[in-house]
Amino acid sequence: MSSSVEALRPNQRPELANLSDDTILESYRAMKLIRRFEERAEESYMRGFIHGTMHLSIGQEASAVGVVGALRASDTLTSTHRGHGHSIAKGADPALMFAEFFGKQTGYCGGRGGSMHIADVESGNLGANGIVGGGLPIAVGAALSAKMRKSDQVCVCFFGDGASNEGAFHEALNMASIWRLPVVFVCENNKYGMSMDIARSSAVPDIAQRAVSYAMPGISVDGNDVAAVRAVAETAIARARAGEGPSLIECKTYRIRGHSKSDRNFYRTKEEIEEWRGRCPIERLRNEVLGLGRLSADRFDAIDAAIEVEMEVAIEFAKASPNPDPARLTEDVYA
Amino acid sequence: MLDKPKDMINQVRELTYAEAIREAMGQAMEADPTVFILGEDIGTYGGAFGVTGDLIHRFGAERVIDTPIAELGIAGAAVGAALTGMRPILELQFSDFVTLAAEQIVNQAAKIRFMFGGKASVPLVVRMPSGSGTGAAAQHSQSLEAWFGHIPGLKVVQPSTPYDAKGLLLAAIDDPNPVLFFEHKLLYKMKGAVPIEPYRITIGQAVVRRAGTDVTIVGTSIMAVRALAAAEQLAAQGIEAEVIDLRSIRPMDTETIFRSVRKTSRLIVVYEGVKTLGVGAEISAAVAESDAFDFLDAPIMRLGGQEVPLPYNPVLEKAAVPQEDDIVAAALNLLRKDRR
Amino acid sequence: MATEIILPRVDMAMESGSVARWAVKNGDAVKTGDLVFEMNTDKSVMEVEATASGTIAGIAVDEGVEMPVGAVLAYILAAGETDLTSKIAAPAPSLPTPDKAPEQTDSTSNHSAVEHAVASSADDENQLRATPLARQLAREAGIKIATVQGTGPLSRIEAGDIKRELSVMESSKGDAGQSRIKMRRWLTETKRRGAIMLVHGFGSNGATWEALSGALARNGFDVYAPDLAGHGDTAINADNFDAVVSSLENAFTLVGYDRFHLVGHSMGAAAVVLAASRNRQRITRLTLLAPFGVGPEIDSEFIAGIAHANKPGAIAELLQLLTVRSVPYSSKQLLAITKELGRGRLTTLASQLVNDGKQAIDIRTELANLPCPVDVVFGIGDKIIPWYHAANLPHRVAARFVADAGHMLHVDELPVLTDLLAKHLAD
Repeated sequence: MSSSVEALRPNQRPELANLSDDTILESYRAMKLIRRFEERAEESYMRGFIHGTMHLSIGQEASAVGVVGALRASDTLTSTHRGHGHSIAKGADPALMFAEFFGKQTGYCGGRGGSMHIADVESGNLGANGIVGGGLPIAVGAALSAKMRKSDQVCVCFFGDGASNEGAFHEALNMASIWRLPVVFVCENNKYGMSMDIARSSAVPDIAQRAVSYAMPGISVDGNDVAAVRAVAETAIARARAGEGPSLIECKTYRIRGHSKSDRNFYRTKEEIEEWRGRCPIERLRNEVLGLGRLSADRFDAIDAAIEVEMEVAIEFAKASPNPDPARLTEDVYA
Repeated sequence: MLDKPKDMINQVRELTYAEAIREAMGQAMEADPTVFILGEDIGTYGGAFGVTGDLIHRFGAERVIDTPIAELGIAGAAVGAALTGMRPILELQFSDFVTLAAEQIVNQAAKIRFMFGGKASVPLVVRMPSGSGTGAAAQHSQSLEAWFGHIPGLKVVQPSTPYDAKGLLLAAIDDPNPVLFFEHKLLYKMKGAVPIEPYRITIGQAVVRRAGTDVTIVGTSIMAVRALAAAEQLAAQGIEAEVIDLRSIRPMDTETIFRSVRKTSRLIVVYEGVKTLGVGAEISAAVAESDAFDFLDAPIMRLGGQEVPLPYNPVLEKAAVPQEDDIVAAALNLLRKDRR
Repeated sequence: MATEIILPRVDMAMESGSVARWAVKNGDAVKTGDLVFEMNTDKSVMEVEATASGTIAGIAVDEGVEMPVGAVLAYILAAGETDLTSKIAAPAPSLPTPDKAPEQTDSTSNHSAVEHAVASSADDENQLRATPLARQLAREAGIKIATVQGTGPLSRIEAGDIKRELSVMESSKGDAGQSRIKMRRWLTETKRRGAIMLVHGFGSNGATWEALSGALARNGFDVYAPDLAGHGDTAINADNFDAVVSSLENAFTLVGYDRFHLVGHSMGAAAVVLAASRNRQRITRLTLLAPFGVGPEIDSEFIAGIAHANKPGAIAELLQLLTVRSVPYSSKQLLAITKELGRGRLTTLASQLVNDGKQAIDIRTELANLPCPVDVVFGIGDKIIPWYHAANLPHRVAARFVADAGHMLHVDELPVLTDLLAKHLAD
């Protein structure tokens, strides 16, 4: 961003050079927290603590953290069925998320929503969504609302490569553009819509190309590079906040786990999965920063250790929490 | 009235159903800056049925928003706006097009509050011209309210008079929940007394339009109007029908129906939606499950739309949905006045 | 081959009954004459015995479930038979009661026992069709709903039917408290042409009209047949003839038609004339069969015999006087009749009807003043009231004579009488 900062770190690529040490450590912490949260959730699932399925974003953490890290606390986002990372990046409490996964009354949704519907409207998280493309028009509405209320809120809309083939995608991008709404569309292209390869489902190789139809910037970025994601997100968010309209960011990434817990990975090769595992965004950031000598390993180790403790506490909280009372089943259908 | 000029609530004049709806929207927008309207051709055009009329001139294009033809998108936009502090009124040009928007209404708007553990609300109104009788044929004449009556989290109302249209719409706009507001195209020009001041009619409250002792006729939307006319015909033959205008199908005021059935012992339900698995089935079952069952002295009759897509030809179109004479015939049959 | 175990008719007036207690269960071996079940009837509990030896199978009816007479309740499998599949597909059995005219198995009759016999399930939907309100009213009033005849579509019992029943009870309160009119109804299932009420004679009851009623119902008429006071299932005492006439007038209120044709037999004919003279607006026409009250002669020993009857053998002899044809009564029927007449309810009435060997009631004045058409029919072979009483009739009354008929014209010459009434009704 500022050339003076780049000048300070002439040996670093500008996306990284522009990030402060605190931002780097916070990005690392957030990605690691997401990773460990999902790994512990997976483990809890296998141990039978979790009733329903879930969709893990292991391998995709940089897109959630790079984009949400560039938001203000007052900004909003809409998420997807693979949305744990977005929620945690937006500041969700893992203990309340575990509690929700465990179906407990203390969870974010009082055990009514589960993994696919984590939301915290107060903090700007307008909700994960079980419907592919469901959040796209909602994000447009949130941005329309922000504009009408003359707030400077920006809404980030996460969706997957699969959703980009939904009519809702096209309707939403068009409306956001004609009304110059403060929304940033972030396509997390993890290469598969369930089992359907993007190469077989999309007429264009890059989802970002579709921005042309809606007269907005379309940028493809390495979705496993948190610094690069952050850089394009900052640009798009600034544009939105300035009233110049929406952008489309395509984060090219990969989900290491299957679509859901019942996926047996018949549609892709072990080699492909292993190749992407090698591009882990968390290790990549840590190694790059360590290699540059900007920060010492103990800074990262301390974060890791703290996260382990946080996970233990969070899971214990979830386990100890009460189940919802069936007598209150029909509450909260109506306001 | 004249000696109490300040009592504005009593200042009543004739408005059409469409004008009453427009007045409700205008008054709500004057009172609350978060209320706005979006929909297709609702701005300068004034709405496909002229309901929004001149509102764009009064409130500007930023609060009377012409949208692209993208029902799913605009429904979602309304949901998103409602979720973040606004009170949108979405006009769908024909209620048939709600099928395109169903995802956002059924999967999102209706469920957000519950899915989020009661920590959000979606104060959204979806206004829709519905019903047959205009020669608009199969894709522009349906009555799909029962679909949405099946969805917890939604409210579904069907005003049948100008007075109710205004009072129910203002209540719907105030409501913190998504409300589907089904207007009947044939009623837009119906005139009736409407107070000038804003007023609200409780959603989920039926009204007894006509008291009677021999048979209860429950009607929704225009069928409540036809039921009333049929009741006059029946009265000429010595049959006193009690006519209930349901006004809301979710929540449904079954108690008013039960009370009436306990009195008359006979029930006819008239609705325009396709007969099978419709509003009538729900009412019939509710009565059968209730204490009112013991007071039935004849089978419950449903008069609903025929099992066909709505046809274009006007004779066929009339034959496809209940008419006044059908209601009269059903009542006579139920009371066995046509036998012997 | 499998033998049916049916709900037997054990009483002339009996239309339905229920199993009080099964003495056997499926798979039990029985011999002819073994107790199979105990049956509730209107009046008592009866034992029913096996009519064949074999193995019990297919018990289809629970204890206490009201079933029509003739309904198949279970089967007795013969040795070697293992299942009932052949039985279920088999044609419906005809009823064993010999006193029934063949027409009565026709489905136009309300008493469609044959249909029930085919339906071997315990499902009682064919038995009673009543609206919820009617059931509630009956429950509240303590009326056994099965005794009420429905006038609604599909003979559904509606609230109005119960209310009519109630009004009869109300109107007859005071005589013995629980007074009620028993009314049989045969409702037509073809196009309705009108209504007719058939009124039985001394010592009889409404069931006497079963054959004639079925025939009339098939001709498009709704038929009503009350049990008069002191007779059958009507629990009103008949201490004098006025009580009989008054019970008939009460029965009029049960008819769902403004106007109807009235037929009276013997003493019933006298009651009909007196009741009609007080309800002129409701009666379209009268037909009097072997009327009492138009002349002095009568077989007074017959009347006294019926009034005091208590032995089946004596009753069988008396019954033979009623018809020209010899009518076979089963011992069960005779027992039932004996049981009814043995209650001695008619002794006082008999002494009022017949005094010193002569008829003590004269209806000719009322008969002469009736505004509606009246026809009188006598059987030439009548041994109770002689046919030549026709000579005593007011001149405006048309008399007809049936050659090969006795006092019970409707038994001896059913086709003739059906034809005649259908013609009268069609006028």
